[in-house]
Amino acid sequence: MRRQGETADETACVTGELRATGGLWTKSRLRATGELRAKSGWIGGSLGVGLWLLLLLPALRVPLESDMRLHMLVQLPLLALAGLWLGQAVPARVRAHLAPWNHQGISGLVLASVVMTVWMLPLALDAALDQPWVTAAKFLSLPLLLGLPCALSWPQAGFLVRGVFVVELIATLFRTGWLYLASPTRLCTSYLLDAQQATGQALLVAGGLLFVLAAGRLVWRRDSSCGVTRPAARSTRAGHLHPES
Amino acid sequence: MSAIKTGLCSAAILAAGIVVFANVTHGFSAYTTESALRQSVQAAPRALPAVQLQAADGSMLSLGASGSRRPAGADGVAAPGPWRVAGFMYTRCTTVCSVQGSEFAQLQQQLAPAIAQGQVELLSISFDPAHDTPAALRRWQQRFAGGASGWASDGAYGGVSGRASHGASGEAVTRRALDGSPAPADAGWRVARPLDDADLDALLRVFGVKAIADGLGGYEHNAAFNLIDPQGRLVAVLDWRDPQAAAQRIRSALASEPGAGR
Repeated sequence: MRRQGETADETACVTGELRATGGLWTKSRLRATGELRAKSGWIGGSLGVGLWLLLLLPALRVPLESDMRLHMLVQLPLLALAGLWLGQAVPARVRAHLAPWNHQGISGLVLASVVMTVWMLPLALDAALDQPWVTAAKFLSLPLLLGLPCALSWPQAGFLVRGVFVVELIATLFRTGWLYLASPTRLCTSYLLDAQQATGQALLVAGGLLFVLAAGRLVWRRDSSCGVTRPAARSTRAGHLHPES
Repeated sequence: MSAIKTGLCSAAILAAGIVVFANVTHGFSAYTTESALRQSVQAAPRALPAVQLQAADGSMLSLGASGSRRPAGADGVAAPGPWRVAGFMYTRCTTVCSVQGSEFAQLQQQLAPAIAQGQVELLSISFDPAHDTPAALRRWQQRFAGGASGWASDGAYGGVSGRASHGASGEAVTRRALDGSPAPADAGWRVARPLDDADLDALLRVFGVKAIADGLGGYEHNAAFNLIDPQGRLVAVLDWRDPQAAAQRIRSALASEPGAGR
């Protein structure tokens, strides 16, 4: 395993990462961090369940869904966040079991991307308000099929995979934001045209912020060490459990 | 090994995602609720609920479930009812409904021969029955009847130029409507409201119309030319901004109907 002090350039980093295939390596890493994970997992799990239940409360649900901006940029991401936290409660044994099927976190991040794409559709947003089974699908799929797989996959993902995912996220925000801003007609029958345009603006701002954040990390190289070097550093320096978050 | 497993897993997820996506978007063609509605109606006509509507002249008319069927003729066989083109509106509306009203008037002109033969009937349905009394419905229709050519074709989407042009021709129609000769219904365009809240809900649901309060006392709502066949089924939801295309579609529906050219 590489040590953190090693200053590998990104190309070497990525090839090293590609070489480090197989569940064996992943399992040993999981054992090393197992104890800490158990503790943080318990906290994360409770936080996740708490947030999930909170979002289900009508007192919070109704106001968040009454405004298109809040619906897309607060409720949906919070549901995903609940899943992210829930993911920390997944026991190391299960993770080790899943790891061979989720090399580099690719499967999980593909799943998350697919779910995200579906919920960016204007008609999905409408249906989530009108049809009870779609409402249920929203409240289940965002935590369990978007947030949770991200939590399981992100630590496994190397620089390249993370980069692709983040770029796709930014592109989705820009695409959807521009669509909502530019459309002269209402795309969601549940919201007014100015709400739609305000949502478009907010999506562009969110995409822009994410872009600046990602670009900043690249420039200051805080995130330029790839997934292979960092877990090793993590196991030796327990204080930095989640440098990526 | 792990790479192969992950590849298989990702491919399966992607395939499942594509299937879900294709289902949700009606085969990658509908991304909004409105276009999904149009596709879904096109694929499977919807039977309308049997609903009674009160027309502007106070008479009742029925919609759905053979409601548009005429009483049996001399030969004892029920003649097929007319095709109907229905639109939703509320009379206080200053935007979409005004434009749609004039588009309806245009459609009325385009389909004049078929309307004269009783093959087609236009129907505007109010989703605000509390405000839209028969008198209000009458006043609303009189704003458009006959005055269509003035502004529907000039592309103005606001109500301003529209109101200005109601003048002369509108007056003529008002007189025609009031001087006793069987009024708006005879022009083949009836304006009506449901009397029952449950009926209204059922109509909005089956037509996929959503009216949301705009915070200024009005509503924002989706609009369309809804084509209803003589059996009382919703068979097409057409773009309300293109009455020419809608008229074309209706003429072809009439032509393909058995017993056309009656």
